Amino acid sequence: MTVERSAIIFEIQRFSIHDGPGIRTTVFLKGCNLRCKWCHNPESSHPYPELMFYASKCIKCLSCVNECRHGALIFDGKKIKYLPENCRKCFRCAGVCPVEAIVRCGREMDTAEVCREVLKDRNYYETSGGGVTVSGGEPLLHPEFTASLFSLLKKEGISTCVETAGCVPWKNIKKILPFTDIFLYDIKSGNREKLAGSAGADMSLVTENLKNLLAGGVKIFLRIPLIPGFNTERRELKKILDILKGLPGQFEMELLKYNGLGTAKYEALNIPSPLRKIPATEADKSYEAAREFFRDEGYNV
Amino acid sequence: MTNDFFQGFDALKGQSYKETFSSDSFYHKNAAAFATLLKKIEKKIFPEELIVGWIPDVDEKRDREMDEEYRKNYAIYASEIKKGGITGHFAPNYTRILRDGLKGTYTEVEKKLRELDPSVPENTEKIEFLEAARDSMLAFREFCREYSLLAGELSENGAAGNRKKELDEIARICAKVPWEPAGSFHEALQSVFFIYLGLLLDIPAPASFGRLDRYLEPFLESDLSAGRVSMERAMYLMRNFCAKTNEWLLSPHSIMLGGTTPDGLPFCGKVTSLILEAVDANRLINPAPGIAICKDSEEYLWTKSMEMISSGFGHPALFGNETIIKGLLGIGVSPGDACEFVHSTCTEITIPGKGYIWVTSAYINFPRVFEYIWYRGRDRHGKPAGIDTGRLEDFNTWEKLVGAVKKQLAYQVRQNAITQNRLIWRRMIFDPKPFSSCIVDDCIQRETDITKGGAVYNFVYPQLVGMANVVDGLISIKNLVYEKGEIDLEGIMKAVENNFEGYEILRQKILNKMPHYGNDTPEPDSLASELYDFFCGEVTKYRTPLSMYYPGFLVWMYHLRFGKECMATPDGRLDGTPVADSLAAMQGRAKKGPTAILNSVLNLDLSKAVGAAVVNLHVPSSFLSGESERKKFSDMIKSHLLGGGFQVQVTVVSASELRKAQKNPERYRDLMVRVGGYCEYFTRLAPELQDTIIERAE
Repeated sequence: MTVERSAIIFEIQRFSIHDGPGIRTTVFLKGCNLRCKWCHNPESSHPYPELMFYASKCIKCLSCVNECRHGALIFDGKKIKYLPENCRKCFRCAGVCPVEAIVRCGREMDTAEVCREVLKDRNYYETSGGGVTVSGGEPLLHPEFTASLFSLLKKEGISTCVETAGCVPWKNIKKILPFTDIFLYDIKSGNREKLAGSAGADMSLVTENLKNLLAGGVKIFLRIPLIPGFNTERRELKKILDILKGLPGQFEMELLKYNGLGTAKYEALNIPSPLRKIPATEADKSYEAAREFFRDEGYNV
Repeated sequence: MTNDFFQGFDALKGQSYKETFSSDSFYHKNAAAFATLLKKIEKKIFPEELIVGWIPDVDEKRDREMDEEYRKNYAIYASEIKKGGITGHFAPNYTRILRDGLKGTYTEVEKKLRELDPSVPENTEKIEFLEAARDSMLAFREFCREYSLLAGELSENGAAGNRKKELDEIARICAKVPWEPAGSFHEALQSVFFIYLGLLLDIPAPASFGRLDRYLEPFLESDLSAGRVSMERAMYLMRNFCAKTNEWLLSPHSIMLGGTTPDGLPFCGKVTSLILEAVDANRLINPAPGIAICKDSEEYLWTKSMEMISSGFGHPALFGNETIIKGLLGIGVSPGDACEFVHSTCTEITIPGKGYIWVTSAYINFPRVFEYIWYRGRDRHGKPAGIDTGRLEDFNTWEKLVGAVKKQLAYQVRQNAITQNRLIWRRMIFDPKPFSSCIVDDCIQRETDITKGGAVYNFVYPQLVGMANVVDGLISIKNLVYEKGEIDLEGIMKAVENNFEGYEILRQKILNKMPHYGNDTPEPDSLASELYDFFCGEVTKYRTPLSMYYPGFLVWMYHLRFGKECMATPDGRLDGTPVADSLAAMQGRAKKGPTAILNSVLNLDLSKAVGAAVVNLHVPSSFLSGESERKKFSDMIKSHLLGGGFQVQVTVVSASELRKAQKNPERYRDLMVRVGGYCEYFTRLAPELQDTIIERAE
């Protein structure tokens, strides 16, 4: 079997302070097997590079229109239009766009290249007890890449952390286990039907994998995204609680407040946002309510 | 402090000059002018205050009595003597004055005057100087005594109860310090405050309280153990002291805290926390505390400073203890003195009690080199300003262009040395400072005025402004002209000359597609390092009448002023807009976050820049919103400062700033915000979300 040593990376974010302990660099891999309606990284869904067009930044210089050989970008006299059906993904337009209204999302990088980039901040990891987090997308769709990157980082003495929704075959998880210090593990819902309907996830697989990890004594941070209208009602929270109560071993837990960061990205990707607009006050409120709920149940959140 | 504020002082001094004109030496003239000023300014004690001493705004009086006489007097003092350069900015030897009293210095001066043979010509100037020093100390003693009398009067005339007791205590203390050694925490604070006033009246410029925490610690300790003062009382006194420093507005009056003692141990005393808590509770612009951060700095210093910074307060500034000490040792400061370093007001480093300093001598507008190259040694108005480095078409390699930039910079450094040396020489002749000489070592022992080299250390700091703009411009030219051949050098300079009108695509390409300094990328970072080293090397080639020149990279507010003077630059900056506001990246161009900015800066050997190496970090409040975020942020700063960092100044972005970012996204590309734990560039967010973030910041 050939070892997968490269992956499509859409961002390497330094000074990440909410992706595990300490100061971390988060490597975002493209490609996800779920389609959560609230996803704030919709550019991570597909496993291949994509074109994003931020119309508000466009200065109508027409550099892209002139560069495109496939008629995927046209100027209608008022604004530039992107016609994805004509696009061959050569990204020459992104190369010439002077204002980064058109950007290429996703670039193939090999583990050595990623390693060089993330090691730039190793002093900060050492001082703060941080390290490197691989996120996505679903990084466990690329277990060879992730394992190979983590094994390089372990040799350098760097802490490794993976962020996953856990909806992958156990063999994928097993592959990275020897090199992974921390799992940031999503529990999106305790409602089998809802989870399948709104995210496309298989609840049994998610909980089974989680139980296996916990039984093996792996360090786990459970993360519960709170999506108003999906999992924030009391009976939905109770279902999540049922899962938690059935878990063996120790874990830490964190609640994630819903944010509307994805809105502009959906527009840039030319796809309609699958979720209604949720006001910040509503997100705040349901977050607080959920926090109270779990605290009352004795969880430190 | 505005210059206008001091015109009143200068008018009073000028009047005194006239009275003593032609018959006396400049030593006596200055001592007499100082005495006149001390005598004539109004004395006032405000209700409730415990630390006293006031500098009235003499200008108010000027507005009422603006007459010919006043103007003439002002002109006499100010015209020749005060032109150019800024001194002040140092810290007196408070430790010595608290220990021996001003009396100790006075006794030493008297002894020298008795011992020096006045018939020996070499002694004549020394005697003139020492007499002036003696007279200015006596005048200052009288000034403080007047405060004692005033407190006594207020106590007699109607003060009752507790206030009467307080006024009696003030009267007692002002009769004692700073002439006598201080015997308590309250006396020490009053003594320090008086000395600081004396310094400001002698040299009207902001200055430093030095290592206030270290030298006050023994006084607080002994008062506490003897039960003479409670921590509550000490806090009350400290808050009063700190509040008083706001009576003269604007420029910072600085205090350095923390750091290491001569035995290499970290220092953090009771007074350290007292000062930080007082500054935080007062929430006023002065005093300006700095914290010298070392490997084993107390956790309290971190938590307190992060708490203050995250609340949107600009204080404290954080300094890299090891980097600065290394730099000072490198220029010959003794190890025992180096660990006492202070920031003179903003950032320029000096040794308290032993250093004389000329700050901002002068600022050099680096991005204008492109103008001088383009106009062959002239500025855009045709005035000679640089040197002729030849025709653009002869720069057939990028290295030749970089060479021309260096030649222009070397020329600016040399011209500056010529100007500064004249100014410094003039002050040596016309403007000795006998009082300041009494409070800084070793002027009296050396029988030499502070302006003439009496101090143990002399620092003169030229400051380079706008390095990031030059680096980014040169890198863009390298890419577009010499590598890709998309445009020739003349084409770029034409665009620059036209303020990029008709060249917007080129400008956007430069802003968005070219590598920029401050992103932890080798190409611009190594050019920055090359230019940085070059400037340091050029500056240290020259000497002042007192010392070497030492390089600095302080910008203060000159990114605005110099930006106004500077035509557009090849880094895409437009005519009249600000240049880089610190040694870090140009505003809006650091796109890889704070660790990348800090790493880029660490490519430079910051210990060389004892004149200042400031990094401004503008961060959203969400970076510091909770305890865990603050810990991570402080870990980042710690890692930077211990790894060779000099100074980091953190600004938390306000709602109004965010609003500006919404209007001018181009200038705020690097602004990051965090929403519920996720990080995104502000300018890339949907407008409605930007609005909510702005609302939250309010």
